[in-house]
Amino acid sequence: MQVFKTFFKMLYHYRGTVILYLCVFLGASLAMSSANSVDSRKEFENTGISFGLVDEEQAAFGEAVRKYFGGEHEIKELAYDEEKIKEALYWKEISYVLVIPKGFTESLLSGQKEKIQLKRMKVPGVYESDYFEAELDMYLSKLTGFLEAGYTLEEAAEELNQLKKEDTKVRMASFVNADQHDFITEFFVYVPYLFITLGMNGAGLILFCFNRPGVKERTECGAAPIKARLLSLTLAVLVFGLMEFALVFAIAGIASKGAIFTDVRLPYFMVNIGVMLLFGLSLAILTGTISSNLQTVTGLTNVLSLALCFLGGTFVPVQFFTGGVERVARFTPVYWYTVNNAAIGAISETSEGIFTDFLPQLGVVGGYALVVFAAAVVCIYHKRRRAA
Amino acid sequence: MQHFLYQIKKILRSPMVLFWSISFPLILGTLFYFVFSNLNEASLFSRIPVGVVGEMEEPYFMEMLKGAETGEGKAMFEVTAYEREPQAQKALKQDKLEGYILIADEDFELVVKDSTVSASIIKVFLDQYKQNRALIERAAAHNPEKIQDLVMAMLKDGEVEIEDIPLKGQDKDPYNQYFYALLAMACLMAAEVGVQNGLSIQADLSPLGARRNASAKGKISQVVSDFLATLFIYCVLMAGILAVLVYVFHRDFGSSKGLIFLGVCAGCFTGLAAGTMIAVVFRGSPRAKDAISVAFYMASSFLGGLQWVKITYYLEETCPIVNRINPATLIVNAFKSLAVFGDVRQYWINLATLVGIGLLFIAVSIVKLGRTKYASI
Repeated sequence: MQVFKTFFKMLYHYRGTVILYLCVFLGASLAMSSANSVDSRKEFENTGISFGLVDEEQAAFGEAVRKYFGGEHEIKELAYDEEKIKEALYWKEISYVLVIPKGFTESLLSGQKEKIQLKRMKVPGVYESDYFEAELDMYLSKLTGFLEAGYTLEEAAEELNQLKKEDTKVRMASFVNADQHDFITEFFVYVPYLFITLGMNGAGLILFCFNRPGVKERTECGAAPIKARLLSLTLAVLVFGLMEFALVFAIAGIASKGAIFTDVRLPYFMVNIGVMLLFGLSLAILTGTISSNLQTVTGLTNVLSLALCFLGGTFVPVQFFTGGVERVARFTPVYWYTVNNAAIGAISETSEGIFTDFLPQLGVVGGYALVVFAAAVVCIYHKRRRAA
Repeated sequence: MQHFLYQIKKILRSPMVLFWSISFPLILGTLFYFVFSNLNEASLFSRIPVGVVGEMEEPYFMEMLKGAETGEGKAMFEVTAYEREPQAQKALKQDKLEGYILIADEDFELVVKDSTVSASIIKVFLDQYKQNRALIERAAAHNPEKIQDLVMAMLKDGEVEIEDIPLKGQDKDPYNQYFYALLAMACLMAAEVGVQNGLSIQADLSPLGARRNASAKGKISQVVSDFLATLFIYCVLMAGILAVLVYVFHRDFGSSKGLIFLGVCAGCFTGLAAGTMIAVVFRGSPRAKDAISVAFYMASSFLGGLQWVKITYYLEETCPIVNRINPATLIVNAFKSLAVFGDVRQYWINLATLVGIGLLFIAVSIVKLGRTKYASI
């Protein structure tokens, strides 16, 4: 009991440090989940971009473009000044720039499209601009088709405006929860990052203090046997974990205005997060055991948290992983947690046996927690034997 | 000069911080290299499994769906016909389909379970089909004399070429920003050594600080020597890390190697200055100051896009001032301005702001140290 109490006395002593880490990592997790959460019901609605239009000819084609794209996109009229345009692209005031050179409409109407070409400027890799360009390509393709069939530019533009209304209706399958990408599900994606960083920097730090020369020697001289000390420390770490667990669900409760507590997905989320918590805590115990100085605690936390979360699909969605990377990612517990989290997020109703779908993944994460914890215990005994 | 050399010896003899400063960017850089090289491969197209429930009167729909090809001439969809919706729904649930098309009354809707890239491709295809059908119907109703020409024109490849005005940089890989952010964090991790430097000059925080305060050499001159020696070592280390990123991982940081190295040095300068200021200005135990330095570079790196690359764009819309003063963002933007935009002017603006912030940190530290007096040493 003395060891258990000491753990929390030290935690209280280092409360400033732990709260500081909590603010940074929780703040990062909340910011990412807030920006990434969407309403699945609205996901297929078109989203507009802000694009620059440099209309050097001020003729009919420019007007048609304004009318067609102006409804859903924001058009910013620009003069051709490469430096200013680059600056606007750099600060993302605009995502794409379309330049209509002088004489373009005339060359388009005369059927000599290659004589004067449209020009564009864009930053590579910005998806919004790629989607916009695909839309522009289709518009131009149809427009030229109309012109070749004998339509005037005004008639063709009007036809295209009418055709734009022909849109395929998309709906989510009935078994899918429309809230599958809600704030809660997205926030839970970042929970492994929170547990690993906070566990290692919080519980790991306290355990490191227990293992410091001087403290360790004095503890060894105490009356409590090693098994009792280990048990007390493990219990203390578990209570620390419970505090993390409660914090996560308190935030989820506040963010969802209490809806999470009546949500059908709650028990599954709790189990998945609980098992991930065990992994985070066992990493914390290992870190506190093997670290010889504070720099090692910080260094291990930075490397392990970022590496596991990048590979596990916390920061980059697992659906982008293919081939070798996915095979490697499957060896990380965070990957299985993320897979489960996505599946739980999509649940709309419970049914018998649904829990068995998540069991293999939970088993992998729990297995990792057990192995890391066992490694920490082995390290403790090994260190003790070496010191004896 | 003597202090300078002693400081170098001191750092080299306690290599733990330097070890993590080197190993962190190298381990994470290796991880990024494999993950992000693969992301480019992921964009290579594979057939999208799509189900169809029901039949259209016109036979062309199924033919078009089965015959749709990618730009490389590969089949776009793997089509499976279902008689009833529950069968398709079951296949969708088991991840055998990306979506299914439900046909009813000569119209259709797409049913998916998530908004993936594949689901978007199916939707774009269906939109095109629907618009082409409406186009012909409208032409038949309003301009029947033009319908044949219109069909012929639409069948021709009527694409209008759009000429690209390239930005002056060479970097075309969007994932490079993760590497820029990683390098920024490695630079700012110098703050941890900066904290050690700051602690070792304060008489009430370390025995070494007490001895140094009793020395005949001025306190400020000792701080400057420590700072320059640490900066020198950090710049050498970062040059090594930069070399690994450029020559081993083939990351494009732009054509001017000198400017890139200068950017890294400026990052280390500001990181060190921040660490020194944290050690000198903030009250509390050495551990608390260490924690503040870790929180500083972690928060700065997060805002610079290490974990989530889009945050700089998000901040630009909501709170642009953060992008103008956050050290990690300034480092990332300096590299980006060279590599993506080839814009030296923007590079210098970022660098000047970064160095300005570092100078401000140093000025605050010097003023605070100068005012600190001890009752008895």
